[in-house]
Amino acid sequence: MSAPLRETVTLRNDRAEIPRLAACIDAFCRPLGPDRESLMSFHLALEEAVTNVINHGYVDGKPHEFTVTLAAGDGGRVTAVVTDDAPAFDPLSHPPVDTSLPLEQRPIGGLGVHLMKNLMESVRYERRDGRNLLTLVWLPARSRPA
Amino acid sequence: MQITEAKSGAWTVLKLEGKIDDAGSAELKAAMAPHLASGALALDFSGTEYIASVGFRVLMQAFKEMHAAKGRFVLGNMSDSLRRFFDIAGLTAVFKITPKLSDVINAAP
Repeated sequence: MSAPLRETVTLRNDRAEIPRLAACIDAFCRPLGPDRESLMSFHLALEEAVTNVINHGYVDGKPHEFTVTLAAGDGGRVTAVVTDDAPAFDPLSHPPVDTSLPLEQRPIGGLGVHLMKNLMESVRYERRDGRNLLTLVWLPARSRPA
Repeated sequence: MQITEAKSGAWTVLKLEGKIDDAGSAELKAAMAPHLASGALALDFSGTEYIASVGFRVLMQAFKEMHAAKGRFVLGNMSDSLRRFFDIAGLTAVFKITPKLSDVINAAP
C-alpha cells in the first residue's frame, strides 16, 4: 500500500482539534514505517506548533481556520507546514532556553520552541502574503527497512 | 488522561496514563495540587509516552512548590523515549528521576 505524498488538514483555533490533528499525523506517517519514539517526536513538535497558533495566534477571540500540510519525500523526510493568517509572529525569535540555568532562573516561555528545534531536523519561519508559515522538517528513524 | 492515586507509606503515588498534553497537564496539575504543601509525592510515568511543554511547566511549578515546602518529589518508571524528552527539555538534572519508583518509595522511611 502506498501512502499519500501530500495531505492538508484544516483546523479551527480550538484546542479540541489537537486529537484530530494527532490522528491525521498517525494516518499519514504510519505507512512510512517510523519507529515509535521518532514518531512521538514528530507528534510533540507539530502539536506544539499548532497549540501555539491556537493559544496565542489569534488575538480577536473569534473562530478562525488554519491549515497543516504534510508532505513526504526528499530522502524519507516528512515536511509539515503550519499556515495561519493570524498577526505576524515568529515563534523562533524567542530567546533560546538555557537548560544549564537553575529552575528558579529559567524564563517561563520558550520551552515548546526549544523542543521543536531539538526534535526536528529543521524549523523555519516565514511571513508570506499576509500569512505565518512555520515549516518543520522531520527525518524519521525507521523501525524496519523502507 | 487517567490518573490513579495510591498511598505507599509516607508517599502519595500518582500513576499517569495517557498523553500529558494541554488537557492532560490541567488534570495533572489538579491531581498534584492537594499534595504540594508538604509530604512526599511520586509520579509514575509507566503509562505515558508523551509530554508537551505545558506538561513540563506544570511539573516545574510543582517542583518549586514542593522544594519551598521542603517536601519530597520524585518522578519514575519512564520509558527511554519519554526520558529523552526530559533530557532535551534540560530537566533530568533538575528533577529527581529514578528508573524504579518502588526502590525510592520502599527505601525512604
